[in-house]
Amino acid sequence: MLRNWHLPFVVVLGFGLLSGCSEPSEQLRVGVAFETLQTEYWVASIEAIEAELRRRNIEMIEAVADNDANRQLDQIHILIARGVDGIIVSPKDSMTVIPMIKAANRADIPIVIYNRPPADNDGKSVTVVADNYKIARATVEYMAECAVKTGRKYKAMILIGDLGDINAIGRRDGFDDALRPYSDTIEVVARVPTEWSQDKALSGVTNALQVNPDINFIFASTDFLFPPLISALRTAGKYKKIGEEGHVLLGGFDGDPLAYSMLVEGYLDADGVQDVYFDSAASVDAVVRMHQNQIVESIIRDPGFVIHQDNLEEKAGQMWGAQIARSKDLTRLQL
Amino acid sequence: MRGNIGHIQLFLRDYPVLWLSLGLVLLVVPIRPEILSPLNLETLVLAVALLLVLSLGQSFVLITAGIDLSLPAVMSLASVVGASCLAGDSGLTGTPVSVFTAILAMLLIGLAIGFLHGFSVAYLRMPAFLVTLASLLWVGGVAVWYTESKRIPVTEEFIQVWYGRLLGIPLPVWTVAILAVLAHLLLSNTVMGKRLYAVGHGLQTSLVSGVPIGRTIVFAYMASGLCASIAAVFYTARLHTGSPELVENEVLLDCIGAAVIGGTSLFGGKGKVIGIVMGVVFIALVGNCLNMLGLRYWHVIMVKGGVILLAAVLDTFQTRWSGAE
Amino acid sequence: MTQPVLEFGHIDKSFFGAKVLKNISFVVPSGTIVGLVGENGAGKSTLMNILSGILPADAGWMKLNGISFAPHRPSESALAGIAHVHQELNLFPNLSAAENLFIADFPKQRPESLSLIDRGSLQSRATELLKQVNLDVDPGTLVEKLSPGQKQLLEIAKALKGDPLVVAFDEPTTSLTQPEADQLFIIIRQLKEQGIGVIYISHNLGDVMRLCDQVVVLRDGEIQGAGDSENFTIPDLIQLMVGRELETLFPERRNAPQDEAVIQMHSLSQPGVVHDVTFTLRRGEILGISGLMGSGRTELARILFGLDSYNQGQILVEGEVVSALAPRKCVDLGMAFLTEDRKLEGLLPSAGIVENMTLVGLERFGSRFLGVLKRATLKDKVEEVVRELSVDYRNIELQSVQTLSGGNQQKVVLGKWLLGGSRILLLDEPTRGVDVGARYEIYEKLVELADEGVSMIVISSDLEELVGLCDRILVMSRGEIRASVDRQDFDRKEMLQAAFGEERLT
Repeated sequence: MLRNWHLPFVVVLGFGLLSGCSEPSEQLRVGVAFETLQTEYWVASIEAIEAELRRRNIEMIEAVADNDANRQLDQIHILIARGVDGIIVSPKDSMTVIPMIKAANRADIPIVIYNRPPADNDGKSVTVVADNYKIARATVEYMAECAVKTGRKYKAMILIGDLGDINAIGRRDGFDDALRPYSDTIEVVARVPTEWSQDKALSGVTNALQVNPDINFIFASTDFLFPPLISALRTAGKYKKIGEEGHVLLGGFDGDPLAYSMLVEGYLDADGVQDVYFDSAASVDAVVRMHQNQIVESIIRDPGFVIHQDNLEEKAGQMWGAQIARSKDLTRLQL
Repeated sequence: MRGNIGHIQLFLRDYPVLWLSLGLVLLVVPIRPEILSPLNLETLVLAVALLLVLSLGQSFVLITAGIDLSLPAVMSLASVVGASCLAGDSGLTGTPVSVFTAILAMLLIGLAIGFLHGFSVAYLRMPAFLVTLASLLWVGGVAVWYTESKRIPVTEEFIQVWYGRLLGIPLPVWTVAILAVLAHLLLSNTVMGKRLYAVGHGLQTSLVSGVPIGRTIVFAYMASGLCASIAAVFYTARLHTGSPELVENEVLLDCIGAAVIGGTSLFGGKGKVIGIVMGVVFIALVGNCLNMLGLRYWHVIMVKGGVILLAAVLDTFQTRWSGAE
Repeated sequence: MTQPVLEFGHIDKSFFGAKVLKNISFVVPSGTIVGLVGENGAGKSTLMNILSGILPADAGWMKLNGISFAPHRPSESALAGIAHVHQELNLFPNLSAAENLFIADFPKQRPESLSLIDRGSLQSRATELLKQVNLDVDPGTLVEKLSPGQKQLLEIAKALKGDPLVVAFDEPTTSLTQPEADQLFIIIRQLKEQGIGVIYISHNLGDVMRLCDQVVVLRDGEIQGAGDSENFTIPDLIQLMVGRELETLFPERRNAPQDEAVIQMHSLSQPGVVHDVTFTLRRGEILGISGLMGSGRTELARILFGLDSYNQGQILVEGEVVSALAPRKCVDLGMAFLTEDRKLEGLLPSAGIVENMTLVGLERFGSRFLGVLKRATLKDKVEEVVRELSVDYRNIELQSVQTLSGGNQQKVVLGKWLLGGSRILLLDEPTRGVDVGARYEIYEKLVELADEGVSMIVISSDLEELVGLCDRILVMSRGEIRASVDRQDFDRKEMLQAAFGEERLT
């Protein structure tokens, strides 16, 4: 199923490559504006985009706004002034990206929104986004199945992201809808708002564990929040491997290197993976095709996948975090 | 003639930032000639306008030897309240209101919080640093609570406040230019202006001399709040969004840094609009140039932070030296 | 007494071509107190800087105990046996008295390479030094807890630590009360008994005459007179210092005070500060308030200007009962308060003359609507007042007033109130830190104002000043008015007795 999805894409990709070769004199320049490089997911994404651009012999101009939407808009204007041929932007939220789309449209420069879809607007843009709802739902459903198998009752907690970010909402809704049929077994007792911040997550989770010490089912809306989560669990004496007494069912989202090593070590039950390689290649491809005045569908969905203890071997090759984790291990061996 | 030359020399001596700005442009132009393109100049001018509003407000407070750290939070609260007025989903109004009313509501928020700060500093004798830092947290908290951290879209008419033009020049440029002229006249040519400086130079002396200290300090903080609200109107219109996270706290460093680079003293009593304008131009230029050069974000903050630190060190030494004489 | 410990011979010094010291020669015999007097700028500080090795002399020589002495830096001078006690105290308030004494060379425990402080030795050596200056405090006391007088004594103890041959005092009594100053003089006389040569610099000529065996008078870098102090009178000294007679130091009043009451105070009390104070200030009157520090004289002025509160009594200004006094209200009533702390309460030190001078009267130059300033009128007016008071300055707008001399600073403060249209002046120590020349100019201006009908209350520790200036003097002690003396009945001894209160009388 997934492989089928990739097929047309590979064809298109090859086509793009050919068309790139046909005009060797004019090197394309693409501006890549990221809201943040604070998490490994974003770093992996920008590196994957950079690799893809290099492979296609396209120059990349990078701009990082460090969480400030106004600054990001400035950076888009500057990219336009520098005369780039296309822009890939990962915006702070679904709203502030709209003036960026409009600015690009006015300058007649193609713009691709990476990972965070814009709110309704009359501008022209292409969005590449993981299907947050589906991936989150599939992840939590897998966890719920694990829970049912034990025959025990569960108390669940979710770490919610910044609700200004539509992805956070998708993941939260996926969590809720996945658990609805299991309400007899699993009761949601805590919803910790984190605004994607580790500090807020740590204090929120610590509080929640004090109020509900019997929480034993946790879904984090991003793997980025695992470090504070683990720290809080350790403090409460609840960080146990699968199969050990008192193990808390854990699920995450992103597919980062920490999640991979937690899976390997047996602490993590399931992780929803955004396919960074697909996303980055699709974004670059979309920008190139728009530059060539081809018609591109306005939303390209990354179906992603769930990685868990049962399919770890099989799926690790597609998990970006696994690649990073393994390459780090490799360097360690070489040393 | 000689007098003129003397003035120009004094000017350059008093505002070394002018040299810095000029040097920066000369350095970058050969590498990125696009920096002088009309498109980029417009981006630059708009960035200056945005920062200048905040810097002007901040410097009213700095001149009285205070500081206003609440700006980002005040902007966020004004932004979400203004946007929800327009959207008509706020409990306050029920129905969508005009752009004018929304802006008025935003300005009132800034004035009200500014009054609170001024009152606490002037009459309760609380340290400005503490009062406004506390506001940075609680006002910011109110903004998040009010929206549950959601963004609120704004109407097309409201967006025109930023994107509209008069005689081909963007509206915000007009507004900020008028604001800067008014601030200059106020500081240099009115009783209140002179009182702001006096309070900053010496609180006790001003008290004994019959200067209405309370009113003066409250005025400064209300001016700062008002400017934060105006900036919030611009940010909100520019980003098409009422947001509880409208701006990062780093903007504080930008606006305080611009004022200090432009000759405003953190110890109070000193600061002119012309200097602040130059400081703002420099800070905006640094950001623009480094982005133009495609340098990574941490390079930008390293350079900016370094320059601001240098200006603060100079300010400290100048104050010390003149004090030692 | 006969043996010279320090000799100056034909010292010359110029700055940028301007001669500030010309052919200075005099001797400080051992066991002698030599008073060095002169106006600001007469060359006293320059001479002291040459003595302490901060500046080299252009020509001439110094001898210490008969040996040629030319220090190149302060440490050299200190090592040779010259100690300085300054008006500005160089003490660390957050350290103890003992730690301040040995800040530069703490006694160390063996082995010394470890740099561990030998607390025992520190304590005992400090106790000994403090005893030498009659400072009866524990060496562990933090300096911030000491009174100004005690700090001055500690500073002297610090100077004595190196067994000096010569100790130079520069205005040591400025921040001291009379009893503290008396205590200081006892110590200085003890130094003299030990055979130390003392140089004593002060504006307070009364102190100089009381204390010094010899005087040297400087004017414009030249010695105008020198010799045993018994051969001089204070008027002589002033004449030598300023080239003017004492009689003219206090100008003659032309108009007598009028009968109309400007300020009436009835039975004013504030527990622990002032008690049952009643007096009347008439139009055109200069009313002096004499008394020791802490007698309630400054406190009374602060209450009258609304800076401090009172719990009983009544104040009438121009016949109207005034309640809820505040500085702003007082300014509106035409009152002015020239406080004793010029730097903190009188001036905006880092601002210019114009900014300082317009502080009170600003509103008079602003338009009714929006308060837009008429800047040309304002600057003209400032320049007029500056000229009237003959303030000496380089740039009226850009030069910060802290770079002006004490006299010029005081003129700026006075000018500020005059420009504000004040008709009732409260002047607390109006000539503190002001040199004799400027002092005369200030007196002249005050008398001129009084003749024009301005009323003033002058508070001063300097009885001569009050006697010379005032129409009437109130003497305060322990918060009460002990005496009210009219000009024709001025008697210094009686007034001093009243100031010291009952103890002296019995």
